[in-house]
Amino acid sequence: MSPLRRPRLAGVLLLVLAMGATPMAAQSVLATWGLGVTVDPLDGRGRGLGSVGPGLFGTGVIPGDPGASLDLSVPTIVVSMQNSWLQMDQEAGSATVSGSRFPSMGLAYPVGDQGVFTVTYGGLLDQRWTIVREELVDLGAGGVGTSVTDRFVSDGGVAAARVGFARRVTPSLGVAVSVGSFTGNVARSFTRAFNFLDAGVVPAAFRSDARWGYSGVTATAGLVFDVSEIVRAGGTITWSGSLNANPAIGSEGDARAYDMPLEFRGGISGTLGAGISAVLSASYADWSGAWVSLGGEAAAGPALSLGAGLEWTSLSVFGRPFPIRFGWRRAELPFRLDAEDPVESTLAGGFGLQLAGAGNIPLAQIDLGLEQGTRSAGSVSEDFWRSTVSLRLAGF
Amino acid sequence: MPRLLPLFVVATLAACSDEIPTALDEGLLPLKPVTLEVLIPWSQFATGTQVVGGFGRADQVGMGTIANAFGGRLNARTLLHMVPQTSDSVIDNALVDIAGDTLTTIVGGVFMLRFDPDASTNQGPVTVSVGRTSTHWAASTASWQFAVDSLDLQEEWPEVGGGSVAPLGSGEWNPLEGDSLLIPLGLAALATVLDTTSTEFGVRIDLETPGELLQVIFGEIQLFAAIEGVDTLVSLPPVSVIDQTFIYDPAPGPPDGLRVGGIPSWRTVISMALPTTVAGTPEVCALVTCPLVLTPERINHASLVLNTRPNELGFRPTDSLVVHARSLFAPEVLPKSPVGPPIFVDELGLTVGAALSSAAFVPGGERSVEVPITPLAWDLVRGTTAAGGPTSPHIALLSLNCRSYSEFCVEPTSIAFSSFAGAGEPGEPFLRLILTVSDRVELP
Repeated sequence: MSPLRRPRLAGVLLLVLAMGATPMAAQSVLATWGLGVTVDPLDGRGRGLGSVGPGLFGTGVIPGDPGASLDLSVPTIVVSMQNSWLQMDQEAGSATVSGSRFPSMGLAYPVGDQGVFTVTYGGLLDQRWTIVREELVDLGAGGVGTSVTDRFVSDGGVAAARVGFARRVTPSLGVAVSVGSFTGNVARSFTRAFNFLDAGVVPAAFRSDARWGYSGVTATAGLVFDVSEIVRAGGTITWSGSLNANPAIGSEGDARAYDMPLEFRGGISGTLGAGISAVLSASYADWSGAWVSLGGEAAAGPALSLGAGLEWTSLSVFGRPFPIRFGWRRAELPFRLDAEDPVESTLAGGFGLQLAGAGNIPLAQIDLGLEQGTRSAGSVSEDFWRSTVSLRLAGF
Repeated sequence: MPRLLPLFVVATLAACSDEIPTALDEGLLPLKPVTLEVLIPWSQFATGTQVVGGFGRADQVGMGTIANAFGGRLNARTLLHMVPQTSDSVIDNALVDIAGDTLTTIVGGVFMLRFDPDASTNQGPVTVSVGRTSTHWAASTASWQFAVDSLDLQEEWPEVGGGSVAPLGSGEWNPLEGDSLLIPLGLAALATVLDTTSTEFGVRIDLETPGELLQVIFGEIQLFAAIEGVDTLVSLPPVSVIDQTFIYDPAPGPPDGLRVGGIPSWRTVISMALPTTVAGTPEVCALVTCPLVLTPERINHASLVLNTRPNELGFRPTDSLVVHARSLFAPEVLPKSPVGPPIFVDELGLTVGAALSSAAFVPGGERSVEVPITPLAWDLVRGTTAAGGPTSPHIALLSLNCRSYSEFCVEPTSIAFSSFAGAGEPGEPFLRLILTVSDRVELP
C-alpha cells in the first residue's frame, strides 16, 4: 500500500462527490407530485438481489446502512452509478427518456479492532421533472387564439451526507450508527413561450423561477445479528429532523420545512445450500407527516417496500468469484398521484465480478444490478430498465 | 486499480444522455399563468410628438426614380454621372491588349437600363428616353430647380427639371418581357457619348409615358468596336456610373398627422411615459394585486400601433415600406439628435420593423400596423437599461433600407412616405401590451 496513493484517491473521491452533488437522473414522471421520487441508495449487488434493506451476507459501504461495513478489514471505497431508460405513457401521449445518476458512494476505513468508520453520500429524493402544456390564449386578435407552450422544470433533489461507525460487540452481534445532514438543492422555473406565427408579433417568453437549498439532520442506528454463517439478520431505524428548504440568495421563493418520516428497514439472509443464499427484506416509512407539516392535503402516506432475492456464489470466471443474483421488489411510492397509490414493481438480476482479491477480501470488484420494472398511478404508467453498476476498491 | 475509478466515472457519464421525465398532464402544472392584452390609449403614455423632415438625400438611395405626372402631379427624372468617354481613351485603355496597335473604330452601342418591376407602377409598355445633360450638376444637391445647391454655390437649371439634354435615344420597356431595356445608340448618339467638349458626362433619364412611376436600379452604356482585320465587333468594357440621383416636382405638402419616410426623409418623434399600473382582468386579479403593476418580467410584448391614412397623390408607395423604431438620445437638438441602435432585433440580430403594404395608403385601405418596442418598454418600466444605464423615453420612427444580415441601413429609402393618424385624430396611435401574470414559483 503506497502512502502516495491515498491523496490521489481522496481527490478522486472528492471529484466524485462534487459530481454527485448534481443529480442526473431520469427517474419517473411521478416525481412531479410531492417531494419527488424516493431513491434507495443501494449498490449494484443490492439492486440485483431486489433488496430494500440491510441483512445481506458479506460487506459493503451503503448509505443509510452503516452496519453493512461491519466486517470490513481493509479500507474500501464504493461508487455506484445508475442508468435508467424510461417509457412513459400518459393520457396526453408517450415519451422515452434516459439518464444517469450517482445513487451512492462511500468510503470505509477500519480503525484497528475498534470498528469501521464510514463516510457516505447518497440520494434520497429525486426532484427532476418537467411538465409541458400546450394552450391557446386570447390576445385580443380574434380567431382561435395564440398557442403558447408552458414548461415547468424542476431540477435537483435531496441527498444525505453521513458519517458512521460500525462495531461488533459480540461475535454474533454488531451495532452501527451514522449521523448526517441533508444536502442538495432544487431549482424550479416556469416558462411560457409564444408561437410567433400565431401571435403575429414576437412576444418574449415569460419566465419565473426560484431556487432552494436543502438542509436538515438525519441519524441511523443499526443492528446485525449472525447465526453462525447460516443466517444473518439486520435492521436499521432512521430518524430525521425536518427537511428544510431555504430559498437561495436572490430567490423569491418561500422557505419550507417538511417533517421527515421515521424509517424502518430490515432484512434477513439465509444459506439454502452450498453457495446458494436467499434474502428477504422490507422497509417502511410513513410520509404523512411531510404533508401534514405543511397543512396540505393528504397527498402522502405510508410507503412499504418488500424485496426478495437469491444469490449463487459458487460460480467463477477465470478463477475469480462470479456470483449471480436474481430478485424481486415491490415498493410503494410515498407521494400520491390522482389519489391512487403509486407502486413500483421490478424483477432484477445481476452479477459480481471480482477483479482482484486477497483470501476472502475483495480488493477490486464490479457488481451489476439490472432491473426491469413498472410504475403506475392513475393515468400514468411507466416501464423502465435500470442498471446499477458499483465499483468497489479496497486495500489502497 | 484505483486509477480505474476516474476512467469508470468518465466512461459512464459519457455513455449516458441526461434527460428529464416530462409530464404531459395539464392538471399537474403547479401554476395558473394568465396572459392578457392591454391597450393603452395615446393620452396615457405619449407625452409629446414631433414630425421632423430633412434627413438624407436622393443620391444616397442607390436607385433612381422616373415619373411623369404620376398621380396626376408628380414628375421625377433620374440623373447619372458616367465615366467620360472618348474614342482614344476607350481604345487606349481597353483595346490595346486585344488589338495591339491596329486601327479600331467605335461603331455602335446601347444604353442598358434595369428597372424594379415590383416598385414600378406600369403594367404595360412605357417609353423611356435618355439624353446627355448640358449643365454641370451635383448629385448630392441637385433638385428640380437647382443643378447645384450647396452653401457656397447655387446654380439653377437653365430649364427646371434638369435643363436641356442632347438625346441619346429612347425605348419601350414592358415589365412583362423582363426587367431590362436596351436603347440602341445611333451614330449621332455615339457622337454625343464620345463628345469631348465637356469633361462631365451626365445623363438624364426621363419617362415619356404619363401617369406612371418607375424605379431605376441600374444604368450602363455598352460600346462596340470594329478592329481592322477582324470580322466581328468587339464589346468594350461598359461605361459605368460614377454617381446618381433623382429630382422631382412638386415637393410634398407639410405633414398631416404622423409621417415617416420620403426623400429627404421625415421622422416621427414620440416621447413616452408608461403608466406604472394597468387594470387587470378578474382572472388576473385573483392571482395578484390589482391594479396590475407593470414589471419587465410581466411584459412579453409592447408595440406602438399606428393606423395608416391615405397619402397625397404622387407620394403613395408603389412598393412595401418598413417603419423602424430607434431610441432618440437628445430630442432637444432635433433634427440633429442622434438615434440609437434598433430598439427591436430578432434572434438573428436583424432589425424588426413594421412592414407596410402600399395598399395601406390609398383611400379605403387604412389599416393598423404594429411597431415593436418591447425592449424600450422594459427599460421604461425598469427606469434603466438592462445594463443599468440611462434610458431614453423618446423614440424616432423612421424608414430605413437595411441590407439583409447586416446592421448597415440607409435612410431614406423611397420618394414615397408613410402617413399615420396623429394624436386626437380618428385612429390615433395606442400602445399594445401583452402581459403574463402568474403566481410565484414555490415548493409544494
